[in-house]
Amino acid sequence: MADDPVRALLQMNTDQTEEDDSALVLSDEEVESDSEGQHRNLLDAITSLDKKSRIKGKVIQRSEPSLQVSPFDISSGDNGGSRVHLNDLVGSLRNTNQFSKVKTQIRKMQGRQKVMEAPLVKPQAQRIERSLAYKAAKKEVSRWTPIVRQNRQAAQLVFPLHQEPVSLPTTDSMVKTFKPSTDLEREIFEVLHGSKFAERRDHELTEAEEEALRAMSLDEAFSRRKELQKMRALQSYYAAKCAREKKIKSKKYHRIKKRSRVQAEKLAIEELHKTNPELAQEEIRKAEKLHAEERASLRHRNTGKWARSKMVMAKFDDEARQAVQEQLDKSRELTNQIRALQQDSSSDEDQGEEEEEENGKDGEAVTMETVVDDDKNPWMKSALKINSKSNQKDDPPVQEEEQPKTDDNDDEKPEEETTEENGTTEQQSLKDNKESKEQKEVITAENVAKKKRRRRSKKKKEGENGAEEEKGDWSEVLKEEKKTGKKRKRRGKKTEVDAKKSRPDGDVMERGTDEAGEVQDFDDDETMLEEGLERRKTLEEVESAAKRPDTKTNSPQRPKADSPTNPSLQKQREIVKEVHINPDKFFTIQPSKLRSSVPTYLDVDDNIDMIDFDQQRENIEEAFANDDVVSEFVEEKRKAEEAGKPKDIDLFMPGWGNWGGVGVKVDPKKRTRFRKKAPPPKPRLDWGLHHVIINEDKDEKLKTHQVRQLPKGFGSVTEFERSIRAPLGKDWNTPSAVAKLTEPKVVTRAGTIIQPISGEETFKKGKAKKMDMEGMDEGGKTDRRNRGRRDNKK
Amino acid sequence: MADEEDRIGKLKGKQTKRAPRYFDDSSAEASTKDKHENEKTSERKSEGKKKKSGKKRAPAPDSDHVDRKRGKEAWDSDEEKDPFPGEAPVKEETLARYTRGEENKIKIRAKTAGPKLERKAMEKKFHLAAKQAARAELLLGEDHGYLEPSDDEDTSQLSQTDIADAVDISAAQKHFDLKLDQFGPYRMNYTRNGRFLVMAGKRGHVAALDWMSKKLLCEINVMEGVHDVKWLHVETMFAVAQQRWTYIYDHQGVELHCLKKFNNVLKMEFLPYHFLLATASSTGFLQYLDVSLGKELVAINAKQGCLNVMTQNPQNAVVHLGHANGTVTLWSPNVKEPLAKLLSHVTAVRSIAIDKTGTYMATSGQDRYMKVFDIRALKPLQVYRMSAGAGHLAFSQTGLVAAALGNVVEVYKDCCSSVAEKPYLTHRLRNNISGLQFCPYEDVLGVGHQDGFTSLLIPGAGEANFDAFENNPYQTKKQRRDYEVKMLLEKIQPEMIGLDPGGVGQVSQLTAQEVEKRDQEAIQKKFEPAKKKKGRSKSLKTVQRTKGVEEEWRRMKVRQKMKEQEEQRKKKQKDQQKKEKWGSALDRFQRKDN
Repeated sequence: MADDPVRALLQMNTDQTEEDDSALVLSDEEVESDSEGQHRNLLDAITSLDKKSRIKGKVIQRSEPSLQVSPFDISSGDNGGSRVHLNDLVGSLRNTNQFSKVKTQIRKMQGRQKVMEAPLVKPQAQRIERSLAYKAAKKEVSRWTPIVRQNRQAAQLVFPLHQEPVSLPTTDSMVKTFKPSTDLEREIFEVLHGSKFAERRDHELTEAEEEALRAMSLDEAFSRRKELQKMRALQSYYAAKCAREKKIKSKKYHRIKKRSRVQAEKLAIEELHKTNPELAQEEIRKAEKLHAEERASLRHRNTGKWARSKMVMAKFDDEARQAVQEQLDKSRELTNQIRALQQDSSSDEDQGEEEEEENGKDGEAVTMETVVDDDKNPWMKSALKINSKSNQKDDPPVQEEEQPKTDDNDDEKPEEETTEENGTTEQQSLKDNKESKEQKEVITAENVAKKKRRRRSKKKKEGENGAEEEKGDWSEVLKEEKKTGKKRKRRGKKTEVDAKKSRPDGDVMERGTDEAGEVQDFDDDETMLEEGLERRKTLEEVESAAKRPDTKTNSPQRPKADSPTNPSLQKQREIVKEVHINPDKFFTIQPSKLRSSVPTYLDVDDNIDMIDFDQQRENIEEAFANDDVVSEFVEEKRKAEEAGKPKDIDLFMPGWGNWGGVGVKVDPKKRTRFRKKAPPPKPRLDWGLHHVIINEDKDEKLKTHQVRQLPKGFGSVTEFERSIRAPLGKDWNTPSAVAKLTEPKVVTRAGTIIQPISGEETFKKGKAKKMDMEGMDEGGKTDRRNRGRRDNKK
Repeated sequence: MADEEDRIGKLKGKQTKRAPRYFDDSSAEASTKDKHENEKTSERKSEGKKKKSGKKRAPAPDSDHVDRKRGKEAWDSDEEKDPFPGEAPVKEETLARYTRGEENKIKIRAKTAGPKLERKAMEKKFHLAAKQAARAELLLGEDHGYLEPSDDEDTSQLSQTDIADAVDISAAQKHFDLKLDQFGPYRMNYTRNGRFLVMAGKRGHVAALDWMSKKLLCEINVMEGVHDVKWLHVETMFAVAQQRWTYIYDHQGVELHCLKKFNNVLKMEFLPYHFLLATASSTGFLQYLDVSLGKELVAINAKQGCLNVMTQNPQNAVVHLGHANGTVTLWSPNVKEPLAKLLSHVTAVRSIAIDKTGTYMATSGQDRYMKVFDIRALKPLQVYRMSAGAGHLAFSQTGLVAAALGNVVEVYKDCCSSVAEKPYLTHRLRNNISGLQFCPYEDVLGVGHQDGFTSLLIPGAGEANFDAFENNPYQTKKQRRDYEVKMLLEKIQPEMIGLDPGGVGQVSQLTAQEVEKRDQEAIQKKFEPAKKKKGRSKSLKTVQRTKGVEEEWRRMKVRQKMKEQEEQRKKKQKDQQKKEKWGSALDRFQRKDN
């Protein structure tokens, strides 16, 4: 297209000025009379003009025919820089005074350069049109998106959507616009508002009262001011003194000061005790509370930042070690004090109990914790329980309780038998610890040190004897006298037994508080029963108990209690079970006497005899019926538990891989190898409740009413169950709440025409704000935000 | 019948002389205080009737409401600012009482989260409902009081005459004695709204009456031994467990039904929300009768011998039975085994009582112990040693426990959560007690015994605020009819009885898991060709074989499906034919003329 004006120009020139334009004519002639050589020369000259090719030093020859490529190496205009402009052709005219006509023509031509572009091809043009139309339509439609979304998410839609708000005048608005019109009204208004006796909003006193206050005598005012000044001065002196003292950095000074303060307080309390015992009691209570708080906090343990930093240093720094030790001592002191006290009292209780048992009347169901004063504190209880236990029983029972534990370990890790001896010596040392109570703490520290040493050695041995450390841990746990399941979880691997007993912590707490008198928590129900058996009253029983653990230790590979391979042993155990069952475990709460009146029996003449007989009968009944009923119940519970347990699957086929037939003994190893072990049973619902059997079968009939699958849109079962947790009916809710809870999604006003939603209505200026309904939900809020944004844009 | 009419004449209020009262000489202030308490005993709930001034306590001074004295300021101040903006605060503990379960924490990420938004809005509504319910507690202005003794006094020393003298005349009339010494000992039962009383003597005398007005509804002699008597859902019907069978009579004494399947029944319980009559028989069977359908729901052999101790847990409709071996068993009609078994005594259990919230269960045994359990956790709370084994126990709506020790009735206060040391009230009768029940919404304890029936005043026993939609003591005939229909419409299916009353709202998780497992298996199941020898297990062969088998499986499935469809189609056709022949069940309501 760029060529057109040039050609036109040339055409014009040849037409109009044939004679004058000799130069152009000449060129024409040259073209006409060109010969081969001349043409080549010209080409050479022109190519030499082209800088690029000159630099490159060669001419690109193109052999293929093409419209775009000019044979003269004149580009057709696509490569912008080398385009031939009009100026290049007729630029020299500028320097001459001739050809004025041509010049003006050219100038004119240059003036009107705006040339209408050729129309686009149809599909292209249509595409552009379409995109523009889409943009416009989108803009139009997207105005509606927030409204649509709002309507979709609205808690309720009331049709017709646009209603004029109807409102009744409120009392507030009435008050605001009230103007006294009658005389009486005016008078009252003045009294209420203008008078200085009227109460004021921001002030405590009325104006009149303030005036009265102001009207004090001068002397009084002076004396009062003086007093105030004096007070202020004293205050500032005291503040200065305190600041000074606070700045003192000497720890010794502070320590001495604190000690003296404590001493003074003590004295004061003593004094108070004499003069005002009630107040003293109050003080003591305060001190106790402080003490309790101290115990509750971790202030003097080794978990703090300071303590940990010190412990890092403790290896190299004696002082640091000492500091940590001091702190630990202090914490021990703080935690031990009350316990010691309680211990005494519990031992007293023991005596009392013995006496009661001698009486033979109310010996039943007396346990420790209900008797203790401090029974409201479950944490204290557990500590106390252990104390009382250790008081009650001497060392053999303690050992006896530990022995089964080691057995358990052995069962699982027979390859670690070598370490067992180590472990038992541990136990032995532990036993010694218990005997010498004064040295207890020291030995504890020793044990900790031992443990550390062992840990180091363990690193060397590369986990050869992991059990050793476990046992160390375990003994420590025992020492700490915290027999919660949580602690036990810390023991390295989880055994099957562990799996059974590991329950949520809350349950552990419950156990701690509720199983009165149960000092040791049970590993599983089986041991629970054993526990029951091992709680003895008579001497022989204790003796026999002392023998039993020995037999256990002698046979480390003792089969599990419930394994059917050893029926004779099991039977034996069952018999034992039936013999000793302590009803105390079932009736753990100490009975309290009610001062109830004795019934009289008028039907019988000799009342008194009757009563006596009755009582006697009941007493006999109590004495004999007791164990029978309880043991029956225990047996029943055991059976229920057995039935609930998943069974092992025996896949053994006689004769497979062996000779079979009558009289051929089967290798027991082979038999066990083909037994598929059942997974550990789920913890029972009545776990830990000795007096309860809960049926764990699912209620099949209830299932027909229950939801089978999680409904769509709910993330989890709990989420669904929670979503239907609250009742909606009017029996449980206020009427307005019921209305709110059961409001329908769409409400239509009867008798009104519901028009389709219109833009005019919706986008009326200022309408948007009115549209705001009181949004209860998140959606409403977001929409309002959106609309606000839209308004701003406008 | 003449005899019976004579007996009616003996229905009389006990006339007693006014005895000197312990507060007569004390200051006026003290007397007014006591008066409040005593008046409480009497005529609480005179909602429908006239109300005496000063008797009703003003709405409890709620701290948050005291704070809100905005009225005056709003009127006389020029400023519009509200000194206590927003809605009135609700106390945390009050709110906690009405909040049900834990909130669903819903996180909304996308703007267009439709269902999630809805659920979140619902959570807010739940919260709002709880808040409103907590606020509405303000309307429960009435408070059941108690007798409050001064330091040197003991309420257990107070006799019924003392109490009756101190209270107003309408309340005093609620203490009375029915002398019926020919047909005793008597069992008795109050209706759920406490308005009507039915009693049955061992020797066949059955009488139903409006006990407040002493108006007799009916009086019959069934000419047979009677073990127990219970009202059904309304006061127009009651069930009587007779020597052989159980009968249902209406309020005029007309025999409506004879339930021959329910033989040798000793104790009965009516579960009002399920319309179930549970009976325990001497043959050891626990049976359930659906009263709304007239069908026996289930008969369970408890395998514990004679069942003579029975009660229901009003919270979850579980029936508790007491046995001779000291156990208490919990039953629902859906399971043939007890839901739970609890060893409560070492000797036979004599009676069980459960409070209305389903929290506490009191049991008494021959071993002279009374034990209180928390039945939600099945754990013992209190154990009391009594002077005699309590033959009957009863819980009042406010948590008082009445025990019948031979011929003595004792009422204990606060004996469940804390240890009671002495009875709250005591009353000695001439003969052994055979029936004990607190009258709902009244400060009255009904006692059936050898010589008839005694109504005792127990201050603070009745719930002071009643919900007329639930139980209306002032129910009219029309209201009763409406109530009956409503109850029937809202009947709870017996399958929903269980230890956890919210069990219906749970997803039966196991089935969901099972379904998933099954689906998983269906996906994973693939044919694995066995290894064959002699070149028959080349890859091509195995593929071919696999394909063949899978194809066969697919065909099998299709065939099965087609079969099902065919069956369905046939069934539909059959139904259609039936319909064409007989027409729809709803056709009978069509107009005949078109």
